[in-house]
Formats: sequence, structure tokens, C-alpha cells
Amino acid sequence: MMRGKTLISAIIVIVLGFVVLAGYFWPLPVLVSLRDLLLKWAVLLAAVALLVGVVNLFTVHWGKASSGAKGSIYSIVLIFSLVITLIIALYFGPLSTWSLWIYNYIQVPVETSLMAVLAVILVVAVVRMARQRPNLFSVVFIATGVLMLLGSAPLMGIEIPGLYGPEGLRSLLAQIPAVAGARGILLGVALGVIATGVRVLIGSDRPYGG
Amino acid sequence: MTDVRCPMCGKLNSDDLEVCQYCQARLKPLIAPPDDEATTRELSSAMYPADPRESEKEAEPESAIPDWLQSLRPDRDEEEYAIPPSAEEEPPAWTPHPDTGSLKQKPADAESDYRDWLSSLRADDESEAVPEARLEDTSIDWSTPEPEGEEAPGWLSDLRSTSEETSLEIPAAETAPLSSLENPDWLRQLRERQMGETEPAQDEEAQPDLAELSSEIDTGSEAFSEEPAEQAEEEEIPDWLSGLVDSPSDDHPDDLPDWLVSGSPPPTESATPALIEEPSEEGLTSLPSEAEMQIPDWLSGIMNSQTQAATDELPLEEEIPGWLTGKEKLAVQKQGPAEPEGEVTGAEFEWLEAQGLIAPEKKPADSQPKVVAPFTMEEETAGLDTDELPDWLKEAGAQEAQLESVNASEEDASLTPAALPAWLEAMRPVEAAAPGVPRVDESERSIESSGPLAGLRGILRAEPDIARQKKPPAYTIKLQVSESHQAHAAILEKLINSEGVVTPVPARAVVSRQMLWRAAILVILLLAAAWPLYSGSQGVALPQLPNEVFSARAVIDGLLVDETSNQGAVLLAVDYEPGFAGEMDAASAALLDHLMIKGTHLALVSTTPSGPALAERLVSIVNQHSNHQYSRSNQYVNLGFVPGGAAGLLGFAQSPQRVLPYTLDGSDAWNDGLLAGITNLSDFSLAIVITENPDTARAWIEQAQPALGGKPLLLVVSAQAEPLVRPYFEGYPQQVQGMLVGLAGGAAYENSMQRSSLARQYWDSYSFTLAAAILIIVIASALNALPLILSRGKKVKGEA
Repeated sequence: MMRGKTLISAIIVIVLGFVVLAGYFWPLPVLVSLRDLLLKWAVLLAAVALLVGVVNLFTVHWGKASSGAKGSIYSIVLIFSLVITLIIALYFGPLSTWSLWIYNYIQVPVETSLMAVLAVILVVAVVRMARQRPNLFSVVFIATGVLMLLGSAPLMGIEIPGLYGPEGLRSLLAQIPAVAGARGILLGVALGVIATGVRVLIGSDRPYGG
Repeated sequence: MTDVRCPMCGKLNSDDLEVCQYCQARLKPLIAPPDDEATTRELSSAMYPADPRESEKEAEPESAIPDWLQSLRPDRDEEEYAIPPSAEEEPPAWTPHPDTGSLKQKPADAESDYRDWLSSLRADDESEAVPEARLEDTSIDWSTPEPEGEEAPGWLSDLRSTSEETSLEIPAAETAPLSSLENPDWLRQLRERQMGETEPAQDEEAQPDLAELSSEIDTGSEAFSEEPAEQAEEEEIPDWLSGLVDSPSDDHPDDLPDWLVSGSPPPTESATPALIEEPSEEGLTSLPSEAEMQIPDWLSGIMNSQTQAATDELPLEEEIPGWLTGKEKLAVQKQGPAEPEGEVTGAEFEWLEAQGLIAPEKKPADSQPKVVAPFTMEEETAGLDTDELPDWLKEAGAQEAQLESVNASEEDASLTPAALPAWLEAMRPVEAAAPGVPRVDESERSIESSGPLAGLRGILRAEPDIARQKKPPAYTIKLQVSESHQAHAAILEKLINSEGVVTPVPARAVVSRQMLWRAAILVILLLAAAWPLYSGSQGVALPQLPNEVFSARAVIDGLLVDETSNQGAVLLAVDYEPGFAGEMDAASAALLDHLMIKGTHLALVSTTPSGPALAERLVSIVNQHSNHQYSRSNQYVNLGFVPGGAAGLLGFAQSPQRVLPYTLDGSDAWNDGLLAGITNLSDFSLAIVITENPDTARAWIEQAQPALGGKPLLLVVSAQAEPLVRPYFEGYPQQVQGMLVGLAGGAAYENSMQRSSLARQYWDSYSFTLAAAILIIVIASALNALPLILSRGKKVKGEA
């Protein structure tokens, strides 16, 4: 049994959901305009939510930095970076040279380096898997990975026949078994989205709380 | 020194021994020093319960009759009178003990038999008067006067008359236990008094001198005949006996012996029956027969009437007279000691003692048994109803008390030793003649200490006796420890000892083997990636043009671009994370280069917060590597970030001007400038989405592609998103008209464009790094799997 506040929220969600859905099935001007208005509100709310998230992040780490607990130094660094970036972006603009410098020479290299380390870690993980789980599935996994790597590019300029090209082994692996699995995933995702939408429309699923 | 025969094994033992030297059975009864008068009264009260009904239910009346009188009962089997084999060796039970001078003990139920027998006499009398009356009611009838001359023997009538004449009052303490309904109360009282007299604390001198009695018995009837009749009548004969002599019954003159009728002394030796004259062993063996015992007629008549009354009136089991159970009593008596019987012996000979025929036994003070009464006198007297007693019985009790006082005064050393008459000796029962055995007073050691019977003595304690008979199992106290126990104990001891010992933590190696492996892999990959970049090698051939890349290029090639108008404007969505910038920049650089070559206007948009900056970075990289001069607001506009995820993307697809009305630099993007005249996504010539996230690609395909109005949609995705995006490309109808997948897609596009860009720079390094990674994986996996394969091979061979 829903309480009053929850009931009101559920009614709003259900009504608006059916209005937006009806705008797709019956593109009446009223429905379309109402749908566009609601979508604009959703975008604005999402932007505000992003700001709220930034404020919350700042508050949490401010508390950690103030308490002096273990790891507070990372909170201090985060707060310092946030403030500096915010000041530069607000003052010079988001596409200013200073803003892009911070982005191009700090954020992108850091994240790219992490991806580079990930490549090394993946290689080490495959080696350890061969040592610690020497079973059939490990062998299949390693063989598939090696074939995909071999088919991604010629090894130091040496092309292995049958691996490259639209009819190569790599394309077969990437387009038949992988796509088959991916399609299954997509179908599952689509069904899940439909089910979730229906649950939200009938008020059974209330992600807004209550 | 006189030997004592063991009651258990029958062997002779020295007199000074207390236990049998052969079987360790106790030869002398447990005795206690005399106590005060209160103790004696408690003893009597303990022996006679106050509640008459309870006394009826108990088997006590069965032993009220003296044994020698029990033997005279007419209905006893002859087998009961059979003398045990030891009778030839042992002196008769009624004879004084050769050492102690006291009579041998009798069974504890003697008194109950005595009372039973007498109560049966009363019942016999009443059965004739009121046959339907119950036994309980006979006590009341007993107190009522009976018509003279009907059934009561004359001697009993005389006794009653004598009691009525006596004006002595019965003490309350003595009348307390007198409440039995089956037995004459006066007899109970008498017995109680006798019991009290036998107590050492009360009147130890009143006991008949059994030693003297023994000597008198030895003399036989001679001593009896030598006593002048006058002296017996005047001094020692009790009143009731005197009454017997003085007033013989008129109704049954034939029942009494002649000597009683005439009041003369018993017949002399010549007149004594043969049985009495020779109480030898042969005579004792022939005693069981009633006819042989020559019981007087009056006594046999009484017993016959008693038997008839008991048969008619008593219940089958509960009211069996004591003389019927005498056989069982006898058996128990023969098997072992039961209860102290000094009191019984004294009571039995009380009348003889009063008559002066025997001298009271003088027992040492410390040899008297101490009996602890389980109840107090107050409890005993509480349930006594003295009003129910007839007056003549009270007077009789008072008379008995007087006699007791007289006897106490007559205790003198000068008393003539009593002699048991021969005729009386001959009348002794077989049980009395049977060899007696010294009995052990079990009263002291069998006092119950706990339970509902606490305080009572003589209680059969089954469990301790049974437990004693069992030999306790022998348990070794030595701990049986097996080898496994010792091993476990050693482990436990070692474990306990190790608790206090600080185990040094092995120092962790600064450089572990795994760390070396990681470092080696890292170095190899870095060298493989850095060497082509450092050397500028571009020797590795670019890949061939795949279908999706070919389709993408065909789409771009088909664009009709009019730089003077907004025709050919391309919506470029940069939706990848900075971490994938290296791959996505190289994959999309050739495509963007191609667009710049065509001179299309670009509208940069992103659904991620970092997208607008990455878009600026991508344009600058392409400008740098492809020598373009694309500038913001002239060739491209950056619309910025579309918040709201899929909903925001849907809103942007349906109404881009409402969602992103301004560019990042604050100018109106849709009214003037490059995007003037564009109101919907379908107004764009092409939409290109650069993303590494399949979900983002799916969102664009599902939300924005329908709004394109048939305009092509190209995807530049990373290699990891290819499987999820390819279905949209390979599906029908196609939702994605072309794709560039990863670095290989960009390299293929560059290869098709015959231009050198980022893909070409990265391709050699990418090829070497892939080769190194493949080699590492293959070699390391082989090294790790080889020992396992070898070990399994050895196991298979071993099993074979």
C-alpha cells in the first residue's frame, strides 16, 4: 500500500510516461509538443543533477579532508583540482587554451596511461590463468584471444594467410560467434528495457522511491 | 568358656567373639546402654502404633502369640513341628543361654501371634453371639458384658471379674497404645507393660533371672513340687492366676486340668505325663502332634473355636491370623536373626516371674538393647481414645501397674530362683525346643536414615545389601594410553607450546618472481611499442579495406557539400572517454580528414561531459596531422554536452535547437552561422558517432537514427564495441551505414585514402606490440602448462 507522497509520485510518473509514449504512437501536435516539453525538462533536470553531483562530491571530500582521516590527502587533491578547473573554466571558458591545456595534458594522458597499463595487466592475467587454471576453458580462452590478436594486425609486417580480411579467421570469430552473443545480449537488453518501462508505467517499479 | 553357635554357619565359636570366625556373622546382638524412662516409653510407643486401624492392617498381630502357644494350635501341620536337623545338637530355644543366662531369642512376631491368637479367642466368642459382626466391631462387643456361662471359659470370666474388682486406675501413658480392634486391649496393655518391663532402663531387675531359671529347669518338677502351695498362693502367684485357681469355671469344669480345677499344685513326678517327664530329644521330635502334646481340652476347644471364627469372619489375605503365618515366621526365624527378642522372652515369662517361679533376669545395664522410638509419646498418645476402653480393662491395667510396682519392690537377691515346672517345660512348643541361635540385634545398624521410613529400624534395605554382594568391578587407575593418544598429546603439547613462541614472519622478498614476470612483460611491451615510434618505422603494411570501412567511405564520398550554404553539414558526436583517446583519435582521424578535405561544416556534440573538449582536441589533432585549418565558428561549431543520457539524446534528436540552443562559446548556433536553417537532425547530411561504448552507440542508433530521416549514420567504435555494434550494420534495413573499428579500421581508411595520419604512425607500433603480447602469452602459457602436462603423463604411466 503506497503512502500519499509515493502515490502522488507514481501518478505523475505514470501519466507523463503514457503521454510521452502516446506521442510516439499518435504524433498529434499536442502530444508532440507536450512530449518535447517533458523531454526538455528531463534534460534540464539531468544537468541540474550533474551539478548536484558535483556539489555532493565536493561536500563529501571536504568532510574527509576536514577530518584528517587516512587518505584525506586524496580528498584534498580532488578538491584542489575541482576548484582550479572550475575557476579556469568559468573565468576563461571551457574551450579556452587554459582549459584545453588542463584537459589535453593532464586528464587525457592520465586516463590513457591507465588504459596502457590495462593492456599489460591483461597479458599478465592470461599468463597466470594458464598457470593456475590449466583446463580446457582456459585453453579455449587463450586460443581465441591469440587468434583475435593475430587477426588484428600483421605481426611485424608478416601477414598470416587466412587471418585477415573479410573472409579471414579473425572476421569469422568477430562476426559470427561474437555477434551472435552480442545480439543475444541486445535482445535481452531490449526486453529488459521494455519490462522496466512497463513496470514504471504501471507503478510496480518506483525508482523515484516510495 | 562356653562356645556360641553361629546362627549363620552353625559352627561353634568362642564366647568372647562377637562375630563368627568362620563366616563373620555377628554372634552377639547389638545392644545399647540403658536410657532413661522416656526412652523406654518411646520404645513401647514405637512398638505399638497408636492407630488401631493401622495396627490391624499390619502383620504385627501374627506374631503376638507366644511360640510355645502357637505350637499348640490344632490345625498346624505336622511338618511345621518337625525339628530341624540341628535340633539334636542345640539346646531348646526356650532354655536359658548357657552363657548369658537369658532365654534364647524368639521371633519378633511372637507378640503379634500372641495377640492374634487371643483376638481369635474373642472373635470366637463373638461369632457365636453375633455371627455377622465384623472383626472390627468385636472390640466394642468385647467390652460389653457377656452372658455368663455361654462360651467364655471360666478362667477368663474369673479374670474379668478379678479385673473388675480391681480399683486401680490405668495410667494414661500405658493405655496409649491400646487400641487394637482384634486383640483384647487388656492383653495388649499387658504385653506393653511387659515390654516396658523388659527395657533395661526401666526395670532391669524385673527380668527373670534366667540363669536361675535354667537351674530350676534342670531340677525339673522336683523344685516345683518342693515349693509349698501356700507360699505360691500368697506371695508369688499373680492375681489372675490366683483367680484361676480360686475360682474355677463352673461352665467348663472339664476343660481345665485337674490340677487347675483343684487348685492343687501340679502333679508330681509320678503324675507328670511321659512327654513332660522326659523332654529329651526323642520326645521333642515327637511333639508336633497335638494328641501327643496332650493339650488340655479347654485349650484345644479354644483353638478350635478360634480356627472356626477366623475361617468365617476374617478376610482371606488381610486378616489372616498370625498363627496361620507362623510357618513363615518360623522359617524366617530359622534362617537368621530378625529382631531383638529379649522383651518377648521377658513377657513370656512375666507370669512366672510374678508367681515367683522364676527369678527376674538381671542383665547388666550396658547390655540392654537401646531402642530408639521412631515416634514421640505425644504422637502416640494423640490418637488414643481412652474412653473406648471398658472400665474393667482400665482397672486391669491399673492392677498390672500395681503388680509391676510390687515386682519391682520384690527384686531382691534373696528371691528364690524360679524353677520351670516339668509339665510346663513339656508343654513348650517345638520352636522353643528347637536349637536356637544367637541372634544379632539388627535394630541399631538398620535404622533408616532417609526417605519416608527415616527413623525406623529393622527395615530391609535391599539396595545396599545387594550392592554389597556384588564384587565391585575392578577398574585400573592406570591410564591406558595408546600410540595414537600419545601422538595426539604430542601434537597438542607442541601446539600449546607454540602459542607462546613468536614465529618469525618470513621476510617478504623485495623482488618477487611474480613481480619480475610483470616487469619483464611491461618492458617487452614497452620496447615493442616504443621502438617503431622511436625509429619511425612504417614498414608494416596497412590492412585492406573491410566492408564497413568501404561503406563508410562511400557515404562520405557521396556527400554533396556546398560551403556557401549549410548543405553537407555533418553532425559529429564525440562520445568517448579520454582513456580511449589514443585508439579513437587514430581510428577517426582519417575519416575526419576526409570530411575536412570535403569541406563540410561540422557540428560537434557529445553526450559525455568530457566530449566537447575531446572534440576540440580531435579537430586540432587532425588539423595538425593533415594540415587543415579548421577553425571554430567558421568550419565547425561545438554544441557542447547533451545531458540526460538517452532521454537527452532523444530530446536532442527531436528538437536540437531546444536542447542545445547555444554553442560552447555562447553564440546562437541555429539562427546564424554555420547551422542556420537547420532545425532537425534530418537537416544534417551525415551523422557520425565516435564512441568506444556500445551502449552509447546503441543509444544513438535507437534514439537519433530515426530522427535522421534516412540520412546515413556512421560509427567509429573501438575494437571492444565491434561485436555489439556490428549487428546494426549487418542488419536489414541497416541502421548504421558504415563503421570504422579501432585502429585497424582507421588504418584501412587511411590506406584507402592513401594518406598518412595517426593510424599510420601507430600501426607499426601496434603490430609489434601485438606480436610481443602474443609471444608472451604463448610462451608463458606453455611454460606454465608443461609441468602439469608432464606430471599428468607420469600419473597415467604410473596407473598403467
